Amino acid sequence: MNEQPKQFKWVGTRAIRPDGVDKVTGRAMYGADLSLPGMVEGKVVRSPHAHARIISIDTSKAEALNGVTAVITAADMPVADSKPVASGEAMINFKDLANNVLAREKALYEGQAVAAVAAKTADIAEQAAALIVVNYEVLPHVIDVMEAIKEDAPVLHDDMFTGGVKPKPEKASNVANRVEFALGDADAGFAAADLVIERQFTTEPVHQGYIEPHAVVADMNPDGKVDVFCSSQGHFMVRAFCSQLLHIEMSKIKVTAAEIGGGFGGKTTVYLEPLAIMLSRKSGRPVRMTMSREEVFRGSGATSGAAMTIKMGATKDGKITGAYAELYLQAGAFPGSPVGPAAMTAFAPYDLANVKVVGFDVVSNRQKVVAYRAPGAPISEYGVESVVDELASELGIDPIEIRSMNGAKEGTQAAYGVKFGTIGFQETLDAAKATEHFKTPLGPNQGRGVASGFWFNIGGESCAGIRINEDGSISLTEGSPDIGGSRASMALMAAETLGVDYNKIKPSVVDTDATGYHFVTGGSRVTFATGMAVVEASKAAIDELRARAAQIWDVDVEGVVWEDGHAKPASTNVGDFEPMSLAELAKVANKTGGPISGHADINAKGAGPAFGTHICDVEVDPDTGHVTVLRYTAVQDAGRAIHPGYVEGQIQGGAVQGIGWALNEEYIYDENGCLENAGFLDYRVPVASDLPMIDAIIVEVPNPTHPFGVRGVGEVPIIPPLAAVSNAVAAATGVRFNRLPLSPPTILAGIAAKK
Amino acid sequence: MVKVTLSSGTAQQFTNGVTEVNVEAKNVRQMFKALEANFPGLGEEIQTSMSVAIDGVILPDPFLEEVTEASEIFVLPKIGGG
Amino acid sequence: MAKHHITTTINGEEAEYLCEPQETLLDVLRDQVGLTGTKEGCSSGDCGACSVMLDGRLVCSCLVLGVEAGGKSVETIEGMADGEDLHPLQQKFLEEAALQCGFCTPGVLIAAKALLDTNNNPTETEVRYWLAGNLCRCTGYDKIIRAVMDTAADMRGA
Ligand code: FES
Ligand code: FES
Repeated sequence: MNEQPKQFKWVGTRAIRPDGVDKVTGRAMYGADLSLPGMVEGKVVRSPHAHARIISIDTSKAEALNGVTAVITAADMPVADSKPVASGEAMINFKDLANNVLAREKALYEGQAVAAVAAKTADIAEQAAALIVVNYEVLPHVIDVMEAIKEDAPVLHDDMFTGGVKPKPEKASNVANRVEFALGDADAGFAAADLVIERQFTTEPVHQGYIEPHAVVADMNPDGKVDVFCSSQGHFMVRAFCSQLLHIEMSKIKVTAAEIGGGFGGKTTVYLEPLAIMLSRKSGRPVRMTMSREEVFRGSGATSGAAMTIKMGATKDGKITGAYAELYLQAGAFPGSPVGPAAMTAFAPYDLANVKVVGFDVVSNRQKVVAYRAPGAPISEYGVESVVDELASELGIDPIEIRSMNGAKEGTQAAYGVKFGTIGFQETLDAAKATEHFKTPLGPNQGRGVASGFWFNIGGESCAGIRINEDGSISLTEGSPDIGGSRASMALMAAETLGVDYNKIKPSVVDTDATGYHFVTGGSRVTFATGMAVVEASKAAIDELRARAAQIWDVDVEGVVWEDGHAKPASTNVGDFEPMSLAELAKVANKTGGPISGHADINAKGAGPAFGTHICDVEVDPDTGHVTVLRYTAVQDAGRAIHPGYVEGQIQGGAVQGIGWALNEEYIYDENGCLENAGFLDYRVPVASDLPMIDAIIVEVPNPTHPFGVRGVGEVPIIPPLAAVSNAVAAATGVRFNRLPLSPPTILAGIAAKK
Repeated sequence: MVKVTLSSGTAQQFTNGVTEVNVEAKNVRQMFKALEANFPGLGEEIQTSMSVAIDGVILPDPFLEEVTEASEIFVLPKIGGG
Repeated sequence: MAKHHITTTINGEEAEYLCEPQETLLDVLRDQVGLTGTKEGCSSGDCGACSVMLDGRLVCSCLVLGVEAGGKSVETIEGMADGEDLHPLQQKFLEEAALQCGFCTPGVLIAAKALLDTNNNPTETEVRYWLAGNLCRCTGYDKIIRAVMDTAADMRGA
């Protein structure tokens, strides 16, 4: 790992996180940890069918049960408009969201909420839920993406016509949208190639698998004010969505961010929160709702299963001349798969003159997919990185070399249009090539795979406040839920900017009443965007501190500079004054104009694109088909690692989620469209004994638009593993499987077919 | 005149497949207006549901940014993230 | 249904609670005793977030009934530090960034302590298999495994 340049005192250190002690002693309050006096427990009734019309719902028996305080169905919820509304950076169709939260006319997937109850105990709530009688007319269903686009497939929404095509189709279908990006002429590119490879790939739906199930406590007062305490990736998102869905003014909803037990994109929407508010309104009491693990798997999160064709052509010496991709991604019950970013990222790591990508957003009878780390990118880049690997091996070129040769650099125009500024793709390839890992020989039945990944990273709205307390300690407020150590990064950047001791700064993630709108914690934006707000707020505080010193010294503010946590005269011309520390200025703040603070409310622009390159060694047991990951190295350009420990952690955690996606994880449905493996026993996420150490190598090519050069880290590391693992398996077995997961039966069948 | 580059998909929908369109504008707001005037629906579509990249910087909510003949302007879908 | 009156020892202190016969120890700890440091990730014995010690044995508290704890001694994450002094494992987890969201952390710490209490020189493989029942979705386990091994090394050196 690169050591930090010396000019920083705090940035780049491995400081202890401010919320750490609470988290290792069990004191930290997560979503389900709050109890309020008089609180009742809520429970959701879910559809047992993959696709069914709701004929009637009889709640009378449940309402009559002793201890039940409220029962709700979609009839209790305002009817939402179908028009998409810009909400943060996403377009939200609130009619779809409302239906996803509580089904109105049809249940579109097994596990969709159709009613909810609140009762004095969880047991009574459960009994009451069982007493609700829902009369369904079961309809034919479709799960698989390629089945769903067939002419005769059951249509989920009879008012849905494929968008993005002209003329508008006459017939409703499950294809919600088509996207296309092209540069140059892909066919001309293939004509110029010596070798063209075209392959079909499939990936299965997977779940984010956060260990903390969704949980919320909501308390609505008789005057219409609501307090919500919940675990989410954005309490401002929760406020906005609940406000829209329930027609409550935003100022009346206060959302407090609980500590969050993992999200990975899966907690960027609402499920229980609006229900808990409605139940609280009806009960006149605080309501707590938590999902069981089974509900998490059936009714929340998850990303697309996909099918795709990838075609690439190259000259004998390895120059890629043309590329084409056709992508089909499941959206789940409502439109909105990550096919857009999947299409944009597919070939983004490469400098290509002739490229075309077409993508289709396809609804089917699964839960509505929601963001999962670098949404869409792992899927499309898996296909592309597999074909690049095959090109390299067919042409006899080293897999890192072919990527270097064709890799994007500053000024390269990506297929989605934008020209890259300063980027560090080549640096990750060089660092990967230089590892001892890449040079170590392999044994029998072993193979090595290499793959790269790209993600945009995003900015967005963030706010920060720096309050300098009378004793010189500092309270730092912001509103991005801390999902993996971001409070530490914020305090490090503030300490560096202000020139004070990191331990003097107490960062807090405050509620929606106490700071301005923040876009969700996601897209690898917090260290970049909220970090930018923290630096700007710190600078505003510094300006105020300089002004106070200028007053005390009776000089112009221009005559005062801020260095090392002290106000100093800018030059000897200004006068001969003893530097004043932040603490000294804080002590006399009452005499110089009152409390000292700095604030910044921004919409951060200029997020830095990031790249990673991974190397994976596997051993395949030819008798059982079991794949063991022997060694793994993940290289990534972080721009600047504010807290290297948590940057490495993001890289390692993302890589392991990608390994799980590649090897074990998948949703398995029965013939009725019901999920068969809704638990951690059968949906197998990687466990400690499945894995080797994950060597994380941080490369730093600073992002010029961020004061410390941050790019964002969390998304990229989940992208390369899918292809890195499967390229390694191909090297070990001589078989290209072109489908995930590479579970033992798949491997055995592939090996047998080869023989 | 500023040059705006559309994705081929967006172009098929709004401009008969022409991916590079020129409009008279000094800032993004004027650009949206001009696009809407020349290609009904396009300005509105970009403003409500797409991002604009100017000189390599992706802007999810562009409005007042200046644009000149030298600006490289691309229209692309909004990007979120996990 | 009649509730059972249970007397037990939790983190060294005598404790009493009333519980339904079907209530799990996990629910009792969280809802009756107010110790919410023990987490629920699955309630089926698959994630280890609810790990506690029961009479010196590592168990998933979601698989133990509240009534079963009667007359026994329960140790939870809240009892791991000695006042303000963190257990060496807790300290090491902080120093080495072995937690991200922290949700698995109480269970992992309880399980890791149970290992080190009986084996102060585990191999990497032993640590990995011992902790195989504790799911962590954030860290990829790397820093957790290292922190446990480094703590063991410190404890041997001390
Ligand atoms: S909650 Fe007990 S093992 Fe998961
Ligand atoms: S730190 Fe989040 S699950 Fe382990």
